[in-house]
Amino acid sequence: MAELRLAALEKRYGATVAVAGIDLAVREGEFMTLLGPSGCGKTTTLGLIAGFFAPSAGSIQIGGRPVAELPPFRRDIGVVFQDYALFPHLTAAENVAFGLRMRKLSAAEISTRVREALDLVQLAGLGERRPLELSGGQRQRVALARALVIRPTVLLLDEPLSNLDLKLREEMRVEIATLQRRLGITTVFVTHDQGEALVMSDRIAVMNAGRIEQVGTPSDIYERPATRFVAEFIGRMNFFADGTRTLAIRPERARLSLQAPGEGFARRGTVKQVLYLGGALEYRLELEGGERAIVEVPNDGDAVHYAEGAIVWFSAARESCYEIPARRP
Amino acid sequence: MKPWSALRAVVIAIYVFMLGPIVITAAVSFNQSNRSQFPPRGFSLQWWHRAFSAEWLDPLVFSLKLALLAALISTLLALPLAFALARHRFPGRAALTALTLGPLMLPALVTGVGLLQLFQYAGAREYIGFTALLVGHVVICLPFAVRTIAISLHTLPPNIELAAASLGASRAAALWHVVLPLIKTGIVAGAVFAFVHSFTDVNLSLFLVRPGEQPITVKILGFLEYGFAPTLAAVSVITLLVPLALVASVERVSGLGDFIYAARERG
Repeated sequence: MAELRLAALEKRYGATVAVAGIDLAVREGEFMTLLGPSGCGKTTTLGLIAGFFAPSAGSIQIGGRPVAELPPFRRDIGVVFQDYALFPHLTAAENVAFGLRMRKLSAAEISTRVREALDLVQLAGLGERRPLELSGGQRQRVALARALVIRPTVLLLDEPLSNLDLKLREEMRVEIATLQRRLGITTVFVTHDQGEALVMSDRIAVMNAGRIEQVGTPSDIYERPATRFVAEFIGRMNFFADGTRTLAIRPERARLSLQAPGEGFARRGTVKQVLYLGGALEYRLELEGGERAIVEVPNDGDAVHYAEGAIVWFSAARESCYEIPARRP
Repeated sequence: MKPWSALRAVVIAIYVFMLGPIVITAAVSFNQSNRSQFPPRGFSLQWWHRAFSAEWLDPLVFSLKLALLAALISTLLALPLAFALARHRFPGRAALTALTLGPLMLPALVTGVGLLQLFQYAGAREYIGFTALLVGHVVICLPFAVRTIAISLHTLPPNIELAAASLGASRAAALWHVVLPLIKTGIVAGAVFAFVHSFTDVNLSLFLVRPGEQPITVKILGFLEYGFAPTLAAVSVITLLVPLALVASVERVSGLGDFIYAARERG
């Protein structure tokens, strides 16, 4: 368990810049998510931390110790890969034991720690199976146990949930986050799934084009996005130009009414489309002046329904209007 | 059912064409007279007796030694070559690929003539015989070993070596504990193919033999010039059984089928 610090970290491939100077401090025991679209440099950043390739510039410190020069096998970092990268010729227990064998621990200690690790991920009794005989979720747990059993200083998770089906993915989100908090292990989690990021993280670093756009708690990121990119990438957002300012209103914070509301932000428009989402109704509006807006109304039984073509007021309370900060120089 | 019976007939026909000559050869070897008649007249083991004399056993043992060494050396050379070709981009890679796999397209006859001239011009005429044969066989066996090992390297799950590294395995440890066990079948398959290819080669060997140092295939060909005796049938059956037994026993242990048909899914 240790603090992880990236300073001015860069990775270039010829003229292509994959990571364009990142500064990030992950606190001891923190669950930090690197969130961004594919190609934003998040997986490259993870590879740099793990030591799979060398940075073009910048430094990486774990617990105050510079590690950028160390090969991956001397970094004591646990990695869970997107495809799990289990060793197909070894059983689940042998997979988990691998890191301990490389550390030349005694057979007795290895077997105790392997058993504990398999218990931890609720795979007790499946140790003798080979990866091909395990389900996707079970493979995921073996990969997790294998990374945790070496008691790494930092745990790196590279989109570990993206190969699971939806139900299992939602279960594993909570399970991994709970486990991480119980062990108090410094964790960097890479994902493009904002839902995962919001549910699991202590803090999120939103990445775009090799840079970090914003670092903050899930509610910071969602409710006070620092840039338009963050506002658009996480959840959905209605943007309104207001002089030189840009106002942002979340669809679930906006209201619809037939009468003009007394105060706050309001625009008149026409309902163009109504989408039934089950838990909510989504109204797509065309406002006077040609702007488009989305409103999400909870399907709670009280909601007034508007037909397509209805003339309505789109409004939001003052505290639901967020002003996107002007671009920093 | 109609299309299936037609298909079955075709398959049977193919097998008859493939196995028929072998069955006939085997039967001929039991003839009583020295005429190669089929079906055989009478029954006698005299030709088999003759097949197991030094005249035939010496070249057979020579072939076995040659094929074993050629398979061993070409597999050992193929390992680093396959790694380099499958994993790395470097200047001269295309040239190395062409050089390594070239003998696969080239008639072995041409390679044989070339090697003969090379040994002569290089003043290494005294090496013609076992040494020259070994060099030639390694050259023509190498492509088989490189191909199968490269294929098994390509079927390695991605990230598997990075996973080993993250768990504390140095490159050597990752190679030994993870990569080699996973490509073992490919290495064995490469070695078997190399052995069989060397053992059955005649085109290349023709040019590089000297008296007393000739593989069984060349010996058979030489004997054929005087005519066909049932001894030859017996020798042919023995020569056929060696690679067959090897392939069958390796197949039982490590599944060569993967490389003959298609790579099995790995998870």
